[in-house]
Amino acid sequence: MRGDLEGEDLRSKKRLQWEKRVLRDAVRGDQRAYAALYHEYAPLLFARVLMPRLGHRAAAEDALSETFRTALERLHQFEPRGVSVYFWLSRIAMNKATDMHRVKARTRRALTSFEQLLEPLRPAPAEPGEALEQQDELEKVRAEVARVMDRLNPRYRRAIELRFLEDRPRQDCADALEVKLGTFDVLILRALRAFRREWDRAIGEAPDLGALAGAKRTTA
Amino acid sequence: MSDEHESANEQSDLHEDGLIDEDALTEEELAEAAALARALERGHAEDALPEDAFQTAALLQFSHDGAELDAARADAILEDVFAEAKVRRPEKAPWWRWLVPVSLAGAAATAAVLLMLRSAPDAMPLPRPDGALLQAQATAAATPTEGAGAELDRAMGAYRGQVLAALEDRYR
Repeated sequence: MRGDLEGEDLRSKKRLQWEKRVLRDAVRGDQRAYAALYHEYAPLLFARVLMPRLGHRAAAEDALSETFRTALERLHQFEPRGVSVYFWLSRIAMNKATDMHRVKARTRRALTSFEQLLEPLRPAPAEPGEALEQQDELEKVRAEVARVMDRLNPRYRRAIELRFLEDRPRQDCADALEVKLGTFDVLILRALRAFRREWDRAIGEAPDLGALAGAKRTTA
Repeated sequence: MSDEHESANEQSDLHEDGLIDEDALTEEELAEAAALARALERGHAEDALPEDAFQTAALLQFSHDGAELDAARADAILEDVFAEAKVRRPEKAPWWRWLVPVSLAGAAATAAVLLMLRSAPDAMPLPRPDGALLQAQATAAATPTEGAGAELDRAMGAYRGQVLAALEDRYR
C-alpha cells in the first residue's frame, strides 16, 4: 500500500500520488488505506508535533488518537491542493495539544512545551522536505545536548546522565551520588536549571543556529 | 524563579562543585524539587512545579528517546481511532426503494386518466344517414359510373353538413 516513500519529501509527486490513492480509498471506508496513512504519519506527528508541545508521553498518545479520530471523521472535507495531508494532520494535532494545555488545570497532567527550545535547530518551515527529517533534527538536538553537558560541572552532568540518559530510578541515582533522596531531588533541580542556562547560551553562541534563531525571531 | 534564586544558581554552577549544603536549602527549593520529582515519575502537576526545570527535563528525555512511538502502542491507538470515530458513510439503498417512485408515478398517471375521463363531454350520437345517401352508396357500388360517383359525392356532402351542424350544436 505504502510503496517506497523512503526519502520522498512532503512535496514530491510520488508521495502526493500515493496520498491521493490512499485518501480516495479511505474516504470510501477502506480501513487498510487509512491505516497506511496513519502508519506513515503518526510517528512523525508524535515526535515532531505532539511530544515537543506536551512533554508527556501519555498525553501525546491521547492527542495522537484524537488527531486521527478527528481526521477520519472529516476526511471527506480534506482538499489536497498540491500539498501533503501531513500539514492538515499536523494542524489538527497542534489544536489537540492546545486543547490539552487549556484543560490541564483540571486534569492536573504535568504538561510542558519545549517547542521553543527546539525551534532554533529547525529549518525554516517553507523549506521543501520539511518534517521528514526527524532523524536529522534528533541528531542536531543530541549534538547540542552533548555540547551543553560538557559545559556543566561534573556533578550536575552526572546527575543528569543518571536520571535522564541512563533512565535510572531516583533512589539509584541518589545512591550513586552518595546523597539522600531529597538531596538528589534538589541536585537534579539545580542541574536542570544550570543546563537550561547553558542551553540558552549555546544556542545563542552557535554561529549558524544563532543566526537562524535571530532571523526567525525578527520575522515573528 | 526569584532573582535571589537565580543568582544563587548562577553562582553554584560557575564556582561550586555541585555539592549541596543540606542545611542551607530553602523551603521553596525543597518544594520545587519534590514537585519536579513527582511530575517526572507520575506525570501529575502541582502548584510548586518549576516550569523551567520541567521543560528542560522534557527536552533531555526527548533527546534520549527521540519520542519514538512504540509499534504496539501505535497499533493500539489506531484500534481506538477506528472504534471511536463516528464516520458517516453513504448508505446503500434498500432493494424496495425503487418501488416508491414507481408507485408514485403509477398513482399520478391513474389520477390524470380519471380526471380526463371525468371532465370529458358526454358521447354524442351521430345523425343517422338518410335513404338518399344509402341509395347513392348502393348504386355507386353496383354500377361504378361517373354519374353514380357524382351522386354519391353530393349525398355525402349533404350528410357531412348534417354531422358538422350536430357537432357545432354540441360544443357551442
